[in-house]
Amino acid sequence: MIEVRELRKEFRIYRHHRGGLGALRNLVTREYRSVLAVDGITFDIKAGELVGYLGPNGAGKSTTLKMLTGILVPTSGHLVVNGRVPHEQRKQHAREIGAVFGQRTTLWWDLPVVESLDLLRAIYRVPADRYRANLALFGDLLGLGEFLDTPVRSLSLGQRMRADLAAALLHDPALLFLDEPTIGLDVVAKERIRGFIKTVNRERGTTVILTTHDLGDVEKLCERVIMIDRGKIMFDGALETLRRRFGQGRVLVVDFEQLPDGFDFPGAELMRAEGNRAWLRVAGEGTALAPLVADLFRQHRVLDLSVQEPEIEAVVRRIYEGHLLEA
Amino acid sequence: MGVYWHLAVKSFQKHLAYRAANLAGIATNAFFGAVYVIVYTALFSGRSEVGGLTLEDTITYAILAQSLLMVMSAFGNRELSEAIVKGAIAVDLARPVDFYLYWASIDLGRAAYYLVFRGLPTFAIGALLFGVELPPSVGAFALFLGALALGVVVSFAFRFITNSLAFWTTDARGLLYLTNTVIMFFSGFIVPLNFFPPQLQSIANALPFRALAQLPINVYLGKAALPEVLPAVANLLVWLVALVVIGRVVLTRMVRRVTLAGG
Repeated sequence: MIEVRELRKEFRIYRHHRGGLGALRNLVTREYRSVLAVDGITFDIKAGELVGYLGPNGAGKSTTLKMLTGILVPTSGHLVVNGRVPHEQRKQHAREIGAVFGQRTTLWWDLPVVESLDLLRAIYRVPADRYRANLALFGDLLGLGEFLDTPVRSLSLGQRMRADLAAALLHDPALLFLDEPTIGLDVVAKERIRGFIKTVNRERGTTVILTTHDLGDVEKLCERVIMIDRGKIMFDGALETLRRRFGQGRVLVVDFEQLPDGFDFPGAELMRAEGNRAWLRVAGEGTALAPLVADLFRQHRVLDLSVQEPEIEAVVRRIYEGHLLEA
Repeated sequence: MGVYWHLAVKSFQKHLAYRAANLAGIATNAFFGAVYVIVYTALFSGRSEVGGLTLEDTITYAILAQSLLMVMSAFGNRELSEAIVKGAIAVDLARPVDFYLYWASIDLGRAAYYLVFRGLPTFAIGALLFGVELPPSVGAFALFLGALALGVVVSFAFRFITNSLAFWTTDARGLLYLTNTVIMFFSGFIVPLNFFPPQLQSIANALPFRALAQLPINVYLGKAALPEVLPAVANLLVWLVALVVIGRVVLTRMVRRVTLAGG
């Protein structure tokens, strides 16, 4: 479905001189510096996948999405989406993709939602029966019915996002790009949107690429994650692998009857202790928990015990912070 | 073609949302019409004709001009430049439509709305208060409608270019204020071009802006019948082609810039 090889995008940023004289210099000179927004990325996405595209602000996520949608022309590299080079056949490409940019709506501000949808029906030449079927389906899944006749400017953010999602899928695109679809939404609204995305992906086989800063989106939706930073791919694989590779291991939380003085467990390390409760980090992925726990029970009186998986949030924070430390 | 018709209709509907603003607009247009009528009545005392127009002609001119102001978007229209500044152009590029025709349709819908909901009421109020002349013949009225359509299209083609410059200047307001002043003056919206000294009239006749007011109103008044109108229309059609070509070139450059530099 998507084939990306050594894709690069370089921007020229014109140098800006300050002050009155600077303004004159801005007019006559053309100094610029180059910024590599996307620096040789390579990946494949198969039809029907639901991929999370993550990275800190300015990592190159939106630039990649814009190249995939055909809005931006790559500086170099190979890019084929749905059998086409997006920017070379922009209009034709546009018929087969859907996109939601969470920060801005594509609906007409002053018109009722249904009028905007009707307009998109004409723009994408959606057959009447497909239009009716989709409207009914989205009405069910997204609860569009409640605000179909409300002007977009009077919608809540959650309603607007639902309407934008419906608008992006009206023409049955094979591929859906979502740029921060849950930004600024409350928990309930987020859940509703996630459920919808999942349903569309599973039941219609729509390939979905999603950028987000909300790791809840990633955990609920994405089996595969591509993480990009400073234009380069840092990680591409299953969410579980990401958790394992960058997570600091599982943590055993143990309540002792009496906190022992010294610990010596192969494969576990005391992180901290509070009263009679201790946090033990289980080093490495390969360490089996059962023998460790058996040892614990044999040597101490244990009242309670629980295992904490590394949270994806913490994992990603570590990667992002690592980036900050390196920079 | 269906898409563009749809766009025009939606644009028309969109403007229906602002009823109170439109009522205020009608009141303003009618008020300025009344001011013009009072001034012209005073100025015409003792004279039967100025620049080929009688007092009655001039009153009708003033009321028609007020009725057409918004139809022709004489004060300019920043919808497009605002869309460009806010980056909507990137989203619109990702749609299977022609961007130029997309905006042309939206503007035609806007003009149609203002013709029905601003122009007609303003004209009716002026007619009730001061009396207006009717076109001398059905043919003149038909010609008037044709001239209106030409004016709307010329107005759009010109504004597409000035609005697009917003893309390179980050804020097009300065330029738009300047061009709007030029448009108001040379269109005949402020004062009939018939009153201009001959040199100024020939400048105005060479420019495209008289298509917005002077030409349709003179056709309505029967001051310009078909034989006199034809060369003017030919001149304006040449302008129209030039403006559309320039607009499309500007658009191509804008698209290239967006797709290469990200806007």
